[in-house]
Amino acid sequence: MFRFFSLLFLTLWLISVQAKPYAFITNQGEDSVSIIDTAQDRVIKTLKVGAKPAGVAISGDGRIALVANSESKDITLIDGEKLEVLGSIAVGEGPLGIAVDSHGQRAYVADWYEHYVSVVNLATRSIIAKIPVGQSPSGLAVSSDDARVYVANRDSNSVSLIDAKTLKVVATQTVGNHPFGIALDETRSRLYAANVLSNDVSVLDALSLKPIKTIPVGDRPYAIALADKGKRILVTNQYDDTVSVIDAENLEAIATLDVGEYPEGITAHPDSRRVYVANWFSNSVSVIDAVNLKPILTIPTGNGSRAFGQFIPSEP
Amino acid sequence: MRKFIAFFPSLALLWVTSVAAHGPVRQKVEEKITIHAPAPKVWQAVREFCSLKQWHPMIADCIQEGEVKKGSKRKLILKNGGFIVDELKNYDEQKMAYAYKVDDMSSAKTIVHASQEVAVPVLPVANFAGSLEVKGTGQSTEVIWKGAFYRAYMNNNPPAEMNEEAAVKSVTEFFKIGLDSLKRRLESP
Repeated sequence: MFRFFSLLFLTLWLISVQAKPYAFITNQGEDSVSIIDTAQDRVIKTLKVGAKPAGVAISGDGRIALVANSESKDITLIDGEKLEVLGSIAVGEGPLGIAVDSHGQRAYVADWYEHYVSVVNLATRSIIAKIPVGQSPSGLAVSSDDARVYVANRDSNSVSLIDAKTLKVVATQTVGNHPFGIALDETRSRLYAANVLSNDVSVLDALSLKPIKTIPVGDRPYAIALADKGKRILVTNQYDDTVSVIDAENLEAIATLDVGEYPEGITAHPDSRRVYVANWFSNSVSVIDAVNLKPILTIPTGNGSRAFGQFIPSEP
Repeated sequence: MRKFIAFFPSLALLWVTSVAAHGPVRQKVEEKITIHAPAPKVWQAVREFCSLKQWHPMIADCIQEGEVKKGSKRKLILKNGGFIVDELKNYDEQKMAYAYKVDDMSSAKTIVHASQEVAVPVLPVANFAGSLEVKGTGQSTEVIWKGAFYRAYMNNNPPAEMNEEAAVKSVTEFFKIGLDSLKRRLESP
């Protein structure tokens, strides 16, 4: 009996230690973030953040999570381990897309109204630069060596590459109509952009931004995640309530999976199998299996879950 | 005089909205009604994309372009003037549901805001997508009408006629009035 209980406690202790990584889901309708423990696939904590949060980012090591609040015009800093709000930093007029470097030192925030990317020093909590980009910048991605930053300029129908050292735009490439979410595949050196109005995904060379292919997907594609080490590209189709799965080898759609209503934010779990999708209308997160191409479960979250950006750390 | 009085509340609203000014945030409206009739009967009443002309009190007429399938359109003619063109984006006879989006709308009026002439659409929304679903067991059926949309004014600092409150209010009213009327029609002996 005693052995049974000590085993049970040991198991529980192990689970609590390994209970990670966490997924940070912004709920725009209720100014909060639902934190999902992906070991249990349920919400373990809800944090109040700024007003109308949409964008989210998490450092590769999971130590810091950031939320962009469109109405309070600031970003909220969250301790990714203690799961507590650390503070907020005021940024431009329309913070939306957000990304953070691998160790949580620098954040990049796209300003929807003032058409620049703010560069934020997270240690000093100050804005060190505002880089002018295209019209209504939205999705952002940072390379794992922190040297390159990519941004989708939705209303300019283009993506730009920023040199993180000089903080200048070094290349801009026209893509489809209204690119919103982007994803970087470093193994294949490719950048993907979801084009909301042309219902397709642009595939670009990650260094030259030279177009490689355009892949048709569902209605109103919003955001992109890469699973199974980039072998599978997953795209949320907002008007279809589905996720398109693209095979990265031949760059063709191989499956369409049903998720909740108005799916937006999408991020792969570091186990490279599970993918999490925030459903804005359904107030939930769908978990899908990117390898076996089937739904796993649905987790209730808060009102208006958008989670636009990387919301689970890339390192296990 | 009436015009003069009417001017003041809108001024007050304008002030409130400029204080709370922020970027457009997508809004959602979900209206449900329980109808005491079997689901197939309820679906029969709403399944035609243009059936609104029979049961929605705000609709004078509806013109269906082609057969009812994905991509086909309906033009709703409103009783108080103006029109809304919807495109069918999903139709599921099995689930008794369809989804649509607004392609085009006429404007109800033109206002001057931030020194610019701005057209206010008949439904003060932008990028509207909606769905209608019939769900039921036995004699009790639920009709669920959902809409997802932005306010009509996509720039910062919207005028009162085109802010989030105005958008949610008009969509909610449009759904409610339609569903109430549908219920009355189907429950009447």
